[in-house]
Amino acid sequence: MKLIAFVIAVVFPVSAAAQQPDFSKVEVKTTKIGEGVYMLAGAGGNLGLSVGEDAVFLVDDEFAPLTEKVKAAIAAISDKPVRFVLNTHWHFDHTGGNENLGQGGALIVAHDNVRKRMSVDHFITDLNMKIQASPKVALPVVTFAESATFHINGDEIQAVHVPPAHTDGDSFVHFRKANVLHMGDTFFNGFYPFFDMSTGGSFDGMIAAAEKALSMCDASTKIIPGHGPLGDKKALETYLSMLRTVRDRVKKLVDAGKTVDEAIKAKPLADFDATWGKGFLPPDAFLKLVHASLSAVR
Amino acid sequence: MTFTIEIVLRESDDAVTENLSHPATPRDWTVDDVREILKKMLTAIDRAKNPDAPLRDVTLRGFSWIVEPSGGKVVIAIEIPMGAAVAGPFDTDERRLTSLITQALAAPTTTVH
Repeated sequence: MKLIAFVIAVVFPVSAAAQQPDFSKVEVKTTKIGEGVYMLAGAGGNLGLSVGEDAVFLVDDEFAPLTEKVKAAIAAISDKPVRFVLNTHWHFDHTGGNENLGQGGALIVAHDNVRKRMSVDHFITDLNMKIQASPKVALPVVTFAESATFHINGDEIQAVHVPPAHTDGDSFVHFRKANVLHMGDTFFNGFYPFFDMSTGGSFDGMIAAAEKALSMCDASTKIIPGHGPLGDKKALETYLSMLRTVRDRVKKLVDAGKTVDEAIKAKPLADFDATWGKGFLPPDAFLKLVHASLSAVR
Repeated sequence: MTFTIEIVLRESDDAVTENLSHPATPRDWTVDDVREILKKMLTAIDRAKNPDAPLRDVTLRGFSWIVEPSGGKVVIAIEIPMGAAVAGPFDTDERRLTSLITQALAAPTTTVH
């Protein structure tokens, strides 16, 4: 389904709305991963959730049509309304519910660049996708340059900006007491990641973000990826190892002056494709993206 | 790119050397990159002082800094009560790096719109 959506996106410039799945069939699955901390998974990016005596704190909010399903999933855990929404980056599959939740009184918080990106129209070159500017009520009201800390629900929830990786407005959300880390789309657990070079993302940045996250984890840390199943330190190490190997192999081709078509013919990632190439990005599309990113920094 | 950081803890005569990495090359650095470099330097000092402690978050406050020429390149030197560190050399313009650090430290940490 995602592969079909990607192929359509590559062949035809379409709006984000036209590519969205049939939301009526989507179920929001809730997984408890710590005291008062949950992962919610539906059709867009994975959500993080903290509930407790103080407030409902939500990390990302998927697509707008799923807001009622997300709220129903939260209502099964807490009778409080969503008070805070933290966006890990600006992409529509992570901020689509902002408008609904903002209208409902939630305070939206994100890195400075998330508000900037959401305030204007965008064209994501590598997905051939047009994204319209968000309405005012969907924009983050509180923005930060480095970090912001929420002292709620008996935890210390810290949003930490990561230098440009998936986009130029990425943040990790660290539930310090619960020992849970939400990495947004700097972590695609189990498949090749996408990074948005149109808004500041880079492959080297993705590697640096994974290295930074790894330094924040111990063997017990639970990691919510932007996409894919719940992860842990071992899963992140495996992902980082893949990224580093991909970088080494593709950089050799770039340094040798190989064009992207020549790089694809060389099949430098053939042994990885069966494992990592079945997600959002088909293997050749991922290789093109990495080649472009590494070529840009030569 | 990788760079070296030399750390001298207060009341110690020995320097500790570490290699750190950052994805962007110095000539392409933005305020964001410089903020991250400074945080990596402060974290490295903390790690040298407390090698067994878990990683702690650092904020860009309470330290002195200067950008100095070094062999045609530049280094960043910082000092905090715990010790001092010199990172580099970086192949970039001294005035531009000084300006980026100034901006990084002056930027408001939180904005309410």
